[in-house]
Amino acid sequence: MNKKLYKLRSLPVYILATVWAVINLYPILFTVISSFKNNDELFSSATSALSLPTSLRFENYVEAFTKGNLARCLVNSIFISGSSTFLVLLLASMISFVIARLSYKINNILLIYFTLGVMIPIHTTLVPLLKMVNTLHGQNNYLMIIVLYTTFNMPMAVLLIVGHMKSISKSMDESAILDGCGPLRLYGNIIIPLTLPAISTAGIITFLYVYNDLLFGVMFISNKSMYTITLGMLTFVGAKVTEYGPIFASIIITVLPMVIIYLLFQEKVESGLAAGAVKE
Amino acid sequence: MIKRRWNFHLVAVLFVLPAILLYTVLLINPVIQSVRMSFFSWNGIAQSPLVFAGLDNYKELLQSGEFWRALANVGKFLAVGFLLQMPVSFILSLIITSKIKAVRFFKTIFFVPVILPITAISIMWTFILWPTGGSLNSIMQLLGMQALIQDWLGDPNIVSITIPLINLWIAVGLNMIIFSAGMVSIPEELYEAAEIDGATGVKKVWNITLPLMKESIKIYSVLCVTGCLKVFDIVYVMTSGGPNGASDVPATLLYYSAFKYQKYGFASSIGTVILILGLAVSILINKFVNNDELNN
Repeated sequence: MNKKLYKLRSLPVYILATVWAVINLYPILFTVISSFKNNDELFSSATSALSLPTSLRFENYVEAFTKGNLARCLVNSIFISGSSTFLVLLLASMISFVIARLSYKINNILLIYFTLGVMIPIHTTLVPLLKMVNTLHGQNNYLMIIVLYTTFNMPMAVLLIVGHMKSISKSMDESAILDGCGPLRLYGNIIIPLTLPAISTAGIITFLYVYNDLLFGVMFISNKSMYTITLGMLTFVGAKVTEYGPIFASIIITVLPMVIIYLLFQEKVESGLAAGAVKE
Repeated sequence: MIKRRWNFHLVAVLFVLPAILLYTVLLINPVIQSVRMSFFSWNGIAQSPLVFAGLDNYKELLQSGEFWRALANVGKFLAVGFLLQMPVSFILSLIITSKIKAVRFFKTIFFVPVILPITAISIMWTFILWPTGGSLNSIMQLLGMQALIQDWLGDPNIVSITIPLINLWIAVGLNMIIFSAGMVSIPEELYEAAEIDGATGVKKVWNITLPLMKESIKIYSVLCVTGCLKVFDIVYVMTSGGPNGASDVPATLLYYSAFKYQKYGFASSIGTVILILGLAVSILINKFVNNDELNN
């Protein structure tokens, strides 16, 4: 094909792509810019939302971290997401190993049972869940919230990991067992290393879901020192403050870890979230 | 086949038990409890008993204008989902599977909203949509489009469309990836053959890409319907269902009925309806897919 013609043809594609890129980036850019402004620069005129700050006011970030207690919230969120992710991967890989590699008649039923969990809307469980947690005095308890996040994210991880484990050749296990390999070594030394791609995918999306969640935080955490980052940010935004710059800074602080994870593991995050969605 | 030895049986039991126990007690059990509670009334105090109410909660649900309005709002999410979100996702996936330069760059930017916490996105947009001094209205003022300036989240007639549009902004990135997975699986030769027959860009998309993407479109449909039934965070953060319930969806109605008005039985009946609608839609569309495959 004539090269010039080809370039001309792709022009509308570039235009469309650029338009959507601008629509996509604008809210984030607007928040970054606003996070460095003072009230005057934010509100002085009808169009000040579109102006640039006169200087980079990093003190807005300092204020968000201190007054909004966001440093603590960030640590809480990373701790809760990290622990839940670890538990999800441990428990899901264990049960997946049995379902995918050991041929029991019940395995299919187990798999269908877990598929059910992916289809259940979380809100249906809220009232009984709150009743249960209150009966156990489980409000404001790290272990409780970690166990809850683990449970609700496990079905998806099981589906992802079982799918991958099943694709590994069965002859692998047979020769290993002939060599005297027991079940724990078969799981830990042979099957897990071969399933790492699926396990890391499940890990990344679990971490992302837990970090981004608001609902369980709102329901089960009222102690400010235990707030997750989404809860802390929302509270900081809703508090009666006089300066708005730190509020925008708090949004950026909240999203930054996710942006970093995405930029580090782009392909993995994209395919993982898509696989997670499709499994639903 | 693996010879079953006692140590394999033991490990199997120990490996299955923790996951099954947690899942059954904390996820399946609450679902069953929720269905059961929808036939009772309860005041929310852990020690106080449930009082049998028969179908009262469901009667109240069907007679409450709030519930029908919440369902109507889901209808608006669905309308935006199918009339706008699906074409936009489809066009974006055409862009990121095309041969233009900087595909990776665009793909990354298009996907970013998917990974951000909805809480943060909702706050960002709330400030942008602020009626006075918010950047959307400021831009319209600058462009001389004063007639289009709105109170995007405060006007009860507009808010139930504004929020589905923000939802579109969040969701298209993921749907773009789902569509593009279907797109790249279409063999290149089909397009080459069509080019020889003189088909141009738009015609190729219409005659080859679209018909071969039935599967992706069905996946999208299930995701879109179940997703719309489950919308919560964005409404909770942006408007709390307001003004005056105008942007309520079933999940926020459930949340406020239970945790603000202590109508736990009523809330459970909403939960049960969401559950049944969601499962029914998944099963119906899946059945539809299977039948279609049998016919081909």
